[in-house]
Amino acid sequence: MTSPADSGTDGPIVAIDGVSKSFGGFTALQRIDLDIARGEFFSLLGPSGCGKTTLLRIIGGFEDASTGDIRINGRSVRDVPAFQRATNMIFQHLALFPHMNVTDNVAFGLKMKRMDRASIAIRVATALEQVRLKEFATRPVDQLSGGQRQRVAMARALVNDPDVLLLDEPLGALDLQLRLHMQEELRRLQRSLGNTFIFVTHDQEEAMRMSDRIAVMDGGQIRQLGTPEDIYERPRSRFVASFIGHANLLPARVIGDAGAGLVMAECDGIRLACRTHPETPPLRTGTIAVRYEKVGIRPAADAAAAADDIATGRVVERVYFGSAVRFQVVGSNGTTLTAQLADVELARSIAENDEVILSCAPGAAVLVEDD
Amino acid sequence: MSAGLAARPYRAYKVLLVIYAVTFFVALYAPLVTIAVLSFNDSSITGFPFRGFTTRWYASALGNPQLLSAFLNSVLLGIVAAVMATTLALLLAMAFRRDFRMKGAVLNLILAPIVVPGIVGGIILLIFFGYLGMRPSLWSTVLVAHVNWVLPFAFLTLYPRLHGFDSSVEEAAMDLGARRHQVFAYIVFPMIRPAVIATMLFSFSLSFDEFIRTIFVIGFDRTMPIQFWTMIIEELAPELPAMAVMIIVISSVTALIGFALMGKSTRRS
Repeated sequence: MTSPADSGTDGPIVAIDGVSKSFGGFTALQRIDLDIARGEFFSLLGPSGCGKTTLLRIIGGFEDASTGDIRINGRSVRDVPAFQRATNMIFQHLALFPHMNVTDNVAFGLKMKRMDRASIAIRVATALEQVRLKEFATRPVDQLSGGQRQRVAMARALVNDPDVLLLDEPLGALDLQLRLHMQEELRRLQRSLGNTFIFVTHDQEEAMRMSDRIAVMDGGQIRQLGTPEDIYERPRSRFVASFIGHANLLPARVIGDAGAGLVMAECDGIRLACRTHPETPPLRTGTIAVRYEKVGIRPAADAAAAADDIATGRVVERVYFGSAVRFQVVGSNGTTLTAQLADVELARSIAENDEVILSCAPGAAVLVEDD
Repeated sequence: MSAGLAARPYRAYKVLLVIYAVTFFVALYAPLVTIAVLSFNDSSITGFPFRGFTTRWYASALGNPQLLSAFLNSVLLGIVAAVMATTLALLLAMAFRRDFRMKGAVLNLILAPIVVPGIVGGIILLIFFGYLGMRPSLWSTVLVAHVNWVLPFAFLTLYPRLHGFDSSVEEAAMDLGARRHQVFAYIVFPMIRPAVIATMLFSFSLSFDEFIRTIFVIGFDRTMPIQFWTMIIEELAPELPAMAVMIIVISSVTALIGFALMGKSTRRS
C-alpha cells in the first residue's frame, strides 16, 4: 500500500490514461495509454501529423485533452495550468526571449518562482556551465549561433530542475554535423542530471540513437512501444517496419512452422523463415520485412549453392555509400529486392547487370501484420 | 560597340527619370522651402521680395500669449490623446489576436473614422455632443474628437506588430511559471515597446495637426491650427511663416522618431 504522500517515487513519472484529442472534426489522438518511467529518455516518433506534438503539448499544459487524464508524479494535472506544472518545454523554434540576454533568459523561470537573487545567480551559473555557455552570460541572444541558442534553451528549461523535460523537435533546424553534436550533448545532460526527457521527433535515426524507449506513432495512435532494438529488430506492423530503417517489404502468406519459433512465409516463390514480434497473433497472411543489410549478395558464377539462398537475379542498380554499397536486384521470379553490403571488397566484384545470388539467414526476416 | 548601342536608349530613359524625379521633389518641397525662407524675411508683408534676414517673427510668435497658449493646448492635448488612443489600440490589437464573433464588423467600426470625410465627421460630432448636452471645450469634446480620429491609425500601426508576435514565446514564459499578466508585463510589452512608443508619436502628430473636426467642437478654446486659422482670417499676421515652420518641425521630428522606432521593433522580431 502506498499513501498519496509518497506516490511518485515508485510509479511512472508520467501516466497517460486514455487521452484523446480532437480539433473540430479532426481526431489528433485516439485513446492513448502510456506510462513513462522516472529518469527515462523517451521519444515520441512519427511522421508529421501523427499526433506526437499534440500529446507533448497536452503533457505540458498547452492543450487540454478531450477525454482521459494525465498524472505527473501520481497527481492528475487535468486542472493544473502550464505555469504550475513540474514540466518544462524546449520549443521547436526555441522561443528565446529576444529582448533579454543569456543570463536573463535562463533566470526567468527562477525569478517567476520568486527565488532570492543569490540562489538564482548560483543556479544560473551552474546551468550555463552545464551547457558550456559560461563566457556568453551577458550576450544578447540574437548575437548567438544556432548551436549556442539551443544551449540557452536547454539551460533555460533545465535550470528549473523539471520532473519532466519536454522537447518538441528542437534540433530540426540545425545542419547535420551540429545536430549530431547536440544529440550527444542532450544525451550527456540527461544522463548526468537524471531528469526524465520526452523527446518528439520525426527522425527515426535520432530517436534510435538517443532513446531508452520509443513510441512509434501514426494517425493519433501508438503503433509500437519498445526499446530502439525491439522496434528495429522486431517491428509488429508494416508501418513500423517501413518507417524505421530501410526494409524490403514483401506481401506474403504463411505456409507453415519453420521450427525454433520461426514461421515459414512465402512471396512469389521466395521462402523465408521469419521471426515475429512476441505479441503478434498467428497470421495467415502478412508482410515479410527484410532489412537491406540482412540480404546477402554474391556473384552467381563463383559460388556453390548454400542453404540460405533465397533467389537468383540480376543487378539493376548499384549505389555506393562509402561505408556500404546498395544493390537493387530483380529476381528471376520478377520480385525486386534490395541488398546492402558492408563488405566493400566483395561489393567491388559485383557490377550492374551482373547475375547474382541472394541469401537470407533464418530469422533475419520479420513477418509483420499488414496495416 | 554593341554595348554602346544598347546603352544609348537606356541613357535617354535615365535622363527622363532624372527630370521626373527633380520635378516631383520640387513640387513637393518648394512650398515648404518658400515658407521657411519667408519666415526669415525682414518684411511686415508676407511675401517676396526678400528684404533681409531676421528672426524677429519667431520671437514675435513665441511672444504672442494667445499663440503660446494655443501651442501649449495642442501639445498637452496631443499627449493625452496619444496616450489614450494608443492604450485603446493596444487593448484592441490584443483582442484581435483571438477569434471572436463579429470580428469583421468590429474592425470596420474601428476604422470608420478614416473613411468618413473630416467635415462630415466634425458635423456628426457636433450634433452628437449637442444631444448629450456637452459644452464644447478642449478637454471634453475636442479630446473625444481627437481620440476618435487618431484611434484607427494607432490600431493600424500596432496591430501588425502584435499579429506577427510569435505566440510560442508567450507559451515559453508560461511554461517557466509566468501567469498571464506576468507574460504581458515581462515578455509581450517589452518586446513591443518600441512599436508602442512609435504609435504614440504618430498619434501625437496626427492630433497636433488636426483642424477640420476640431473647429466644429472646440467652442472658445484654441488649439494651434485653430489659432492659426483665426489669425489668417482676421489679420494675415506676418508671424505666420515662422509659426508654420515650427509646426512642421515638431510634426516631422515626432514622426521621424516614430519611424525609426518602428524600424527597430520590426528588425527585432
